[in-house]
Amino acid sequence: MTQRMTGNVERGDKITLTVNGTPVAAYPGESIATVLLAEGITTFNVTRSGKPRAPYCNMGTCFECQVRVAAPGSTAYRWLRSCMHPVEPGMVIITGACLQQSQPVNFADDNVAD
Amino acid sequence: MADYDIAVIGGGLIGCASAYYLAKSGVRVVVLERGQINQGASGQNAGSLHFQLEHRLIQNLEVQVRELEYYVGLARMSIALWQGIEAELGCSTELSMRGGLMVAETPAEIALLERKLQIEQSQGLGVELLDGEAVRKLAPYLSNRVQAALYCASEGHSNPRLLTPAYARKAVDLGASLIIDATVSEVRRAAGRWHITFGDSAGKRQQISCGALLNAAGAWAVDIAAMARLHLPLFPVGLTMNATEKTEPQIPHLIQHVGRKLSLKQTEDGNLLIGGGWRAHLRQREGRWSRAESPDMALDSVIGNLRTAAEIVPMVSSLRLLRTWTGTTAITPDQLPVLGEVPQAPGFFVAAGGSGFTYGPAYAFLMSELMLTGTSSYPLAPFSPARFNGLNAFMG
Repeated sequence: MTQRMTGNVERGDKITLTVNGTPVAAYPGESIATVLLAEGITTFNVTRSGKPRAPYCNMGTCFECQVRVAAPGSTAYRWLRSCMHPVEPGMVIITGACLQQSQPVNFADDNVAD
Repeated sequence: MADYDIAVIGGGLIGCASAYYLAKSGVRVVVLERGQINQGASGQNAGSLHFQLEHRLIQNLEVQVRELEYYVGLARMSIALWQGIEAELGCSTELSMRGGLMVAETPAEIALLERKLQIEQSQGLGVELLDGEAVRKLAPYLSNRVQAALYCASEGHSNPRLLTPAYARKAVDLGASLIIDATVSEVRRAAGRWHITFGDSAGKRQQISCGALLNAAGAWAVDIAAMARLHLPLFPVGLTMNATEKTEPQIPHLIQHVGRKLSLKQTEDGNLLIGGGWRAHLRQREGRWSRAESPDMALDSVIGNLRTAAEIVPMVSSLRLLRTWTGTTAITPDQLPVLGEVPQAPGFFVAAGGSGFTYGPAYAFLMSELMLTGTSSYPLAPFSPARFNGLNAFMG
């Protein structure tokens, strides 16, 4: 089970985001992947054949940790590498989706800086 | 010494597919491959199924009208072959035939599309000229720069990593012999048969004889011809391909450009494959082109290719480039394929010369007919090596 370190760690004030419809607490500066792993989530997305995928390289190379993310107040979900993006208050995240079966973002509506 | 009816030199798409069609007809066939199956251009290309006359073929359009008409006929035949290919091979090749658009941005480019359309329609190829508005209705991901496009509903793509191995497996199932790591060193004709010497994977010298041989060695076909004391005008070229990260399915078509170097498609996995004929630098060894090494990547090709792609398909600029690779193919002086028997060398057949993925299955099918019966169900005469006869006037 993944846990946050507690000894000799100072964290800022908690922020709240939404993961699969549920409010989740996180700390500023954490990556989306960190927060999802701390929540016990292991299926970040699924392949075309339905196989689960989770972080492998944790440095932006393997693209295995992608999840769907919408900015606060936006309904435009975009696939992001969860290891490369810090959490933001109000961010909406969906895990376990399949990229090849998802709809493309209308980029005009999208305001997540990447 | 092993005897065969036909030996195929080169285990790429044309070689393996020819072996399949020949074995299906019941002849004893062997494939000699210097490395591994599908190791060369057959496995390195973009996987486009482009049945319209492509960018490189229409540069000398007016002096080649007749040849190009025959070429369009080959395209029609290829469409039918591709439509049945997964059933024939009994496996997926990630085949997608959901249409292709060749786009134009300027009045001069539109005029070229119109001229091309005449030739293509005269041969019964299903193509249609769309204006900018109609193009964007069909393909909303295209930029406003696109003023018109020729649409061919049969175009698409397939996975080059899957096709050749599928043909090779089926050929072996039908009794074809397939020898990898076989470096051919001698090709001699004696007493009405061809004798081929090669080094096997252990470096041991082996010899076979055959009634006829098919030189399908791609960029190495020149060397194989030279062993038979023949000139073959094939010139190696290095090309560049790019793959982006995966994105949601949104480009069902093959995209090409009539006036610029561009091919673009989205794979089943969601990656965009971007190419279109951008050079890579062939290496040289002792003043000769090296074909055993991958060509060196040219950064200006990568930048130019991606810039062109992003101008035509703006969403490209939001994607990351995952990788670039280079490959070597071989082209002829007139950009048309070389398909047929060399007149000075009875039983020495050649199939080479570019666009070998789209047309490979058709070349292989027709060459197998030609080798077995002396004639083919679609005329190959316009592409015969006989058109370069002068080169071999003192050879053979």
